[in-house]
Amino acid sequence: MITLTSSDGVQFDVREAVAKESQIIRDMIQDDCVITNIPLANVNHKILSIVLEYCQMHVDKTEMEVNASKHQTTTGEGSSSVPVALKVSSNKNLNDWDKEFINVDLDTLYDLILAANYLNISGLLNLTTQAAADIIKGKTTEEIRATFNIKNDFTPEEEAAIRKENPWAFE
Amino acid sequence: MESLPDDVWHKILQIGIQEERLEHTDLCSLAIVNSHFDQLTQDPALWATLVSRDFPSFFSFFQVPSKALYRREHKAKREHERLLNIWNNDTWYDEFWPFEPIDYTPIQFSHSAILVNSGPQLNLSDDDLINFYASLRVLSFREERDQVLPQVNQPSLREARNRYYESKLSKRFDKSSRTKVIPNSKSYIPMNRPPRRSMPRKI
Repeated sequence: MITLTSSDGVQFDVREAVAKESQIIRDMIQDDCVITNIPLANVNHKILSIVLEYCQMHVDKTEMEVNASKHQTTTGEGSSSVPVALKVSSNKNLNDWDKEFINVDLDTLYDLILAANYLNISGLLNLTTQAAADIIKGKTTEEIRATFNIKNDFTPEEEAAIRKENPWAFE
Repeated sequence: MESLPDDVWHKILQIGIQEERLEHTDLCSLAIVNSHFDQLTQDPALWATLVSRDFPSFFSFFQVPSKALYRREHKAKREHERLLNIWNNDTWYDEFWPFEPIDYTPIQFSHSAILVNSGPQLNLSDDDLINFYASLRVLSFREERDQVLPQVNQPSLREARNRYYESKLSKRFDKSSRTKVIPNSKSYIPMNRPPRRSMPRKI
């Protein structure tokens, strides 16, 4: 068991396999700075619990698959079609679960991206960045500004110039 | 959201492009948002991914993929489509053109290299190049069509073709059109006499 401490001092006890989903924690464990308590200064408890939920789910699924394949090897080659179907369905379930999981508000998504980037969890980072890309997709400039609450720092002349540069894409 | 570090934004855009969630229009919309995003979307790496995704057979040693390059390809493609459209609506040609129009294929790198490299010396603008290239492409397309035309089985065409062949044939066997040869000269071979024997008989 490994204890992860969030920036606001809340402690989470997780299995080693779950913590190892994060590249940075995996490196720490491999480098033998063996501390069972790892402080994570950049992640608060709310986000950390979400991240750990994701890791937990993915570790469970992969373990289930490993068990299934073990089961298959012990029962023999005759029943090979069943575990494949099971694997496919579990993958599909996982994708659905991911979709459901990433259905959060913008602030949480923002924190999740930062946390995934900091902890270097490739799966979660992929998922969250794709969600962010989906938000940008198909939006006009004004909509993007409104969604992300971004200030326009161009002077009117600059904006006119840059608007003149870009219309080829919208024809 | 704006305060995300640059590398994370870069990752968002990169993954968005790879997973076909973002288009060039999205990048251009982002560029207008503010100066920070303008900087961000100028990155050649993003456009390189986009070019290789949208113009898969585009390959060039000479050009670094950039926004300008994508723009040029995009415009060339649109221009090509426009000209093809005009061409296809040309009823005169429609009658006996039996094939589907050719697909758009991006500029061969040898061509574009010549065109692009000669650009600055000839003072050609980007748009000139695009127009020139698009018309070049349609011209070569026209040539291809014309080469196929004689095989087309169209009565009106067949007549013309037959006349053409007849004129060719009649020319070949018409003695009047042969070049005149002066008898007794060295090269004179009479038409309807038996071939010469090895030794001429003495008389």
